[in-house]
Formats: sequence, C-alpha cells, structure tokens
Amino acid sequence: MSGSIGAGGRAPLLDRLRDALAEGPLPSVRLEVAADGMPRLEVAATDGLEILRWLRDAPGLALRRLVDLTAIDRLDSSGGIGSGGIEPVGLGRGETGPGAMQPGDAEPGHMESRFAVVYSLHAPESHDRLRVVARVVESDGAQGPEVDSVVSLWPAADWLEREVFDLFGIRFRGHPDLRRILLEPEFEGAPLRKDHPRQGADPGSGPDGGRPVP
Amino acid sequence: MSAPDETTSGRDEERLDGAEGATLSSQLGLSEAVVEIGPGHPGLRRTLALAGSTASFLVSLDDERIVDLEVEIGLGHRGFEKEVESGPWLRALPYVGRLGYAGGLIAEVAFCSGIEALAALKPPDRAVWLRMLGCELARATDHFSRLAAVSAAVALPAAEQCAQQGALQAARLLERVVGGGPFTSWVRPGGVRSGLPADFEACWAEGSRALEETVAAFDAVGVRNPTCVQRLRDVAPLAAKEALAWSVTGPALRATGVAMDRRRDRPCLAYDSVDFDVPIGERGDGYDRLRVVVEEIRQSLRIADQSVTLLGGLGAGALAVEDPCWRGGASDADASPDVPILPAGEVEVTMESSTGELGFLLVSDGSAEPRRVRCRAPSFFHAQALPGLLRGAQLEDLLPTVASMHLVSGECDR
Repeated sequence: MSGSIGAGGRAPLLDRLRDALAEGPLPSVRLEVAADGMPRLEVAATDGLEILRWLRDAPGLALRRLVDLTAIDRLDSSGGIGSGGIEPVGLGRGETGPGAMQPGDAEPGHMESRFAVVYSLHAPESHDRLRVVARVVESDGAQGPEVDSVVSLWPAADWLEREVFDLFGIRFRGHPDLRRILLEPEFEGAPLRKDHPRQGADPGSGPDGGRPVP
Repeated sequence: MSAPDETTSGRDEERLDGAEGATLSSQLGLSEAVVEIGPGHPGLRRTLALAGSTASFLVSLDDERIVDLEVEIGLGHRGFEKEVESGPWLRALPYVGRLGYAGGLIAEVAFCSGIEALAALKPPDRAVWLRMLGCELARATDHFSRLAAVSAAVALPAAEQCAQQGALQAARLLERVVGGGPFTSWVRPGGVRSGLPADFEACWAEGSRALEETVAAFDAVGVRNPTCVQRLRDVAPLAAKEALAWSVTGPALRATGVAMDRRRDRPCLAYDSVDFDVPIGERGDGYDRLRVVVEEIRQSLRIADQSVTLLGGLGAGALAVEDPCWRGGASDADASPDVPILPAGEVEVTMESSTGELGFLLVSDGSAEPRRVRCRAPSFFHAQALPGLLRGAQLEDLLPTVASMHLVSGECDR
C-alpha cells in the first residue's frame, strides 16, 4: 500500500537490490516495481531456492520472514497461457536491474510457464517487503509442475507448500511431508487451477450417477 | 491412556527417575496414548470452538504430558479463493466479511483497499476515518472474545462473563457505526456505505466509558487473578526467533517482545495521524499473550476516541468516491458500477487484524473476474506453530493455548 519503499534513511530496497544483483554472481532475474509500488523479482523456478536463500541471508537485505507463499495459474479461458496479469503494470514498468535479463531476451520457459509460485518476504528490522515470483513450467517434473521446497529456509513454508500442492497440484521437491491439507485425501484434482470447474469435476462421472451434492 | 492399577504404585518416584531420557510410559512398557481432541463446531460453547476453530488435534500423551501434537485443519474449508475467483470482483465482498467474526470487517477494508489500489481510487477522508473507527471497534470485540475464550479454558467463569460483556459492549458500538449486525457490507471499494448516526457522540461517550470500566474489571478478575497467573505463566512460551521463523504475527508475536505492528510500521488508513502504543510482552507465554490483548483493547479505544473526535470535526463530507470510473476494460462499455473491470496488475495489501497480519494478493488480468485472490490468514500460521508450542506442555494447557493463539476457522480454512 505504501508508496515509499525505503525505510529509516537507508537507500530504498529497490536500489540496494539492484546494487547487490550487479555484484552477486546470481542467475538471471528480472527486477521490477509492481502496481502497488512493491519491488518484485521474477526468477526461473530452478533458481528460486538459491535466490531466496541469498535474499534471506544477505546482510544488506535481511528479508528474514516469509510472509506468504502461493501460486498463480495463468491459463486463459481459451486454453492458452496469457500474461495472466502477472506482468506488473504501473510505476517503472519493465524496469530491469544491471545484469538482469532484458524483456526482449530469449527466456526459456517464460511464455510457456503456466504457473507462478509467489513468495512474499519481509525484513522485520527495516519493514522492507519484496515479492519473488518463480516461473514454473507445467512439465518441470515427472508428475507435473515441480519446484524446490523452501521448508529448509523457513519452517512456515511447510503448510503453505502443502496448500499449494493441495489446490494447484504443484509439487515441492524436498518437502518433508507433502500431502493435502485443506481438502480430504480422496479429493481428485487441483481446484484452484483455472481448468478445474467451480462446481467440481465432471458431475456425470461420479459413482452416484452424477447427482450434484445437495 | 492410564496404566493398569497394579503398575501405578510408586508412579511419582518413577516419574522423577524417568525425567532423564526414558519416559514413564516406556518404563512401564506402554506405548504412548494418542487422543483425538475435536473438531468442535464454532457455534458450540465450552469446546474448542470457543476459540472459533474447527481444528482437530491428535495428541500423543505420556501420562498428561504432550509428547507430540498434530493439528488438522480444513473442516471449515469453503473454497473461498475459488469462489471469489469465479465471479466479478464485487461479488467477493460478502465472502470476505465472513473470513472472521467482528474482525471480518478488517478483512473487508483490506480487500477494498486492494481493489482501490488496482483501480487507482482514493477514498475520501471521512471514509478513511470511519473505516479506522470500525476496524478498532472490531478489534476490541474480537479481543474481548479471545479473553473470554482463554478465561473459559482456564475455568474462570467470572472473568469469562466480564470479557463476554466487553465483547457485547464493543459489538453494540460497532453496530451503530456500520448500521446493523455483522456482515453488513458496510465497507465498499471507494469508501463506506453510511456515516455515523446523529446521536453517536453521546452513544460513544457512554459506551467508551463502559468499555474502559469493563477492561479495568477484567484486569481485576482475570489478569491479576492468581489462578489465571498460575495457569498461564510460562505455559507454551514462544521465543521471538521462533515466532518469526513460523511467521506468527499479531498479539502472539508482540507477546514475545517483537514490536511489530502493521498500523505503526507501514500505516494505512489514518493510523499515522493518531497516537497509540504498541504493547509488547517479555516471555511470549500464555500470560503475556493475555496481557498484550488486554492492553491492545485500551489502545483500540484510544484510537477510536480520536477518530470519533476527528469525525465530529469533519462534518458531512463524501462517504465514498462518487461514480467510481472503473478503467481498463477492453472497452468502456464493458465496465459498469456492478461489474468493474480493473486494470491488469498485482497488488498486495496487508492490515493488522485482530489475529495478526491479514493480507490479500490481488491479481487482475484486465478481465471482469479476478485472476487470483489469495488471502494470507494469520490463523493458518498460528495453527501451524501450535505443535512447537505445546510439545512438553500438559494436556490441560492445550485449550488455553489454542484460545490465546486465536484460531479463527473462517480465515484459517477459508
């Protein structure tokens, strides 16, 4: 909500991130400012764990708290994968940091990445906030989309990743106990995917002859 | 759960001997007992539901000591996010209000602020101050309910009754502000639906005095009650470092000594224009959680009082943005006041709710339906932290701890 990004007389997080990204031997990332004025870092799913660890531990950043972890499905009603709104609009649109990838560069998997896993980070001392968006390609894992688990960085990620697995069908490599959390174990499908019908999967195929549940 | 009679003689000595390493159960050759507690219906009194939760607990016990705990949530899952992603933006509002009890109002304010950020709407000052007044009365109501739940869990009926009375008093004032009972959809994108009733200042003068007296009374029958101290002191302590690792927020985090409060750290509404303190605890135990909540009620009343005074001076300004111009649709003809089309973009809003940091990630792809509505519910994180808090505690500590961590199934299960 807040328009200002910096806190306590230090350089704004965006500038510090840009400097740090220029120094660090990090995989290609894209740094932008989203519609709410919050810095936003877009990365490939394969680099997520490494970058998140760096953001948590880098002394100048210290984004130590995982505020939230969720996913976005960009599938269009036509079956294609659109921008899905996850391209930010507003102040500094498409701004890129030094060493970062330019929007026009060939980004393997950028347009084909149906899912995005979103990490919200917070620095308890400076109150800086950052959103990290990892692009996930549907065929990343043998059993569908898969990213590295961050439970080793934040214990709070445990249930959050279970929820994304439950509702989006995205698997988390290295999660200690990946199973459904909000839905019953027998449930089939991933309801927050855009191709999952709101009224439930095909009502005609159920064992009860397809009568809707009253 | 308990051992057969012939093996229980000399139990006390064995327990002392067994303090190192082997547990009593293993010394007796017994396996741990696993007891399932809950779920309770949130409408039932004197159950877990007093804490507003439908969670159920699989408790592994060694005698009365909790060896391990598994928290199961999801019984109250209503597909909130799917539901609101399947219709126009504004159809989400009634669902948003039902994420909590009185505190659902704070969720409505957060959600509407998100829509306003996407649509670049700025609600008028009067609406901002009214929202803040509503939020603080909602917080006071929820906090009193939490005090009632903790009091009931440690078997202090007088304190419970006192806190219930406070919840009722605060809820009555809130009703005057929002114009009815709970779930009135008073908050809407661009502002609020109604202003204060004509006699509100007199009503507030009387009501706030009564509330202050109730807080003072709870201090006497609850906070300073020796039973309360004994039952909650050093029970289920949470360290600041752990709280941050588990992303625990709200009064439960502040009880650990971390002065983190969204209202002060990144003020929204008009929180930067009012005086209030952020009370913190020292030990992060059940008792500190209780005391922080009591202090926060006092601070909420302080903020509410300043809001009422300021609103009196503001007079009859606009309550909402007139005819919000919903921009960004494929053509202007697609947009209407009922089915707004918001510009594409993503917005994250967070507010300090009565439970903790409540947030929404709203993603618009420029169509009439939200691409993504994610609710960051503090209760979810608090439920997840419970096993770490309760391992090693006594079974009797379970209910007071669940109550003091304030689980609300509406937001936890969504």
